Amino acid sequence: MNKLISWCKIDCNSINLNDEIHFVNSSNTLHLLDYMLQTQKIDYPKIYKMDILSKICLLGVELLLKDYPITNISPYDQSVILGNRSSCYNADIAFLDTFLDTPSPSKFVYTLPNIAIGEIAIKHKIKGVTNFLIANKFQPEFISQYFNHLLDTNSAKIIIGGWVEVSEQYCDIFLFLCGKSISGIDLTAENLKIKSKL
Amino acid sequence: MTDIKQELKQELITQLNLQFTVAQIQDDTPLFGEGGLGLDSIDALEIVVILNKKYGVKLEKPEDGKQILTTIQSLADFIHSQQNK
Repeated sequence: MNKLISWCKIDCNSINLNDEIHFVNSSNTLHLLDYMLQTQKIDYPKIYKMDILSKICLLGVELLLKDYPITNISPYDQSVILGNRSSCYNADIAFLDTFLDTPSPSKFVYTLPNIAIGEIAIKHKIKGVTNFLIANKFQPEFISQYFNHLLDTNSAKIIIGGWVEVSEQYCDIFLFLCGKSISGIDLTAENLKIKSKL
Repeated sequence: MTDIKQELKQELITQLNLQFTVAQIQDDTPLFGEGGLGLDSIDALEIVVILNKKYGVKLEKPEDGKQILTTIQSLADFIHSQQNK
């Protein structure tokens, strides 16, 4: 049976990692990111250059994998599939703002949502299936079917999945690690629904 | 010249979101690669924008980029040579 192995729910007020809640009470996503950067002490200078979507995804995945490293699995069997509602809207606006003066190359590179997946893949050397889905809301039924299919057909052995809706003021992040495992809870729509609403 | 170099260091730190202080960057610190600032190709484009926007100098020949975008010193030398043309 495919299992949800680790999960992480993040908003501006709290970080819930595998049902352990840590209250943050940040006033917005930027403060939350400052807090996470300080507390996680990630030694990865590139993160400071990223847009907020990539930054929060990368920091969230760091938490997700903290006690569940995936380095024993072939990079080609590791997947990252994320989704959200607003795509890379924040990066688009930030890039658009630079048009008044000189278009910024470093802002331009984040004007695709799947760049966030690329940043995760680069950091963790993941080379399997990647996909960024745009939808009105998180769809547990579809995601559980899709991910179970990928795992059952050996298209992936482990998947980092999630819903990553974020702006400077708003943060709704649900990340999870799933795969064939003897531990964890079943990878079902119901469990995804429950964990995404923690 | 010293002013330009200090200014360039601060500008790179701000514009490229570098986790360095001005004091940590020497005039001959490599901008790219290990043991230096570790900049990447996007940073290189951003530096070209800075050179144009802040100092009004253009890197006309792409093949000169490798030599000009080497250190703070080489950037300052380039700015100096272009402004005194």
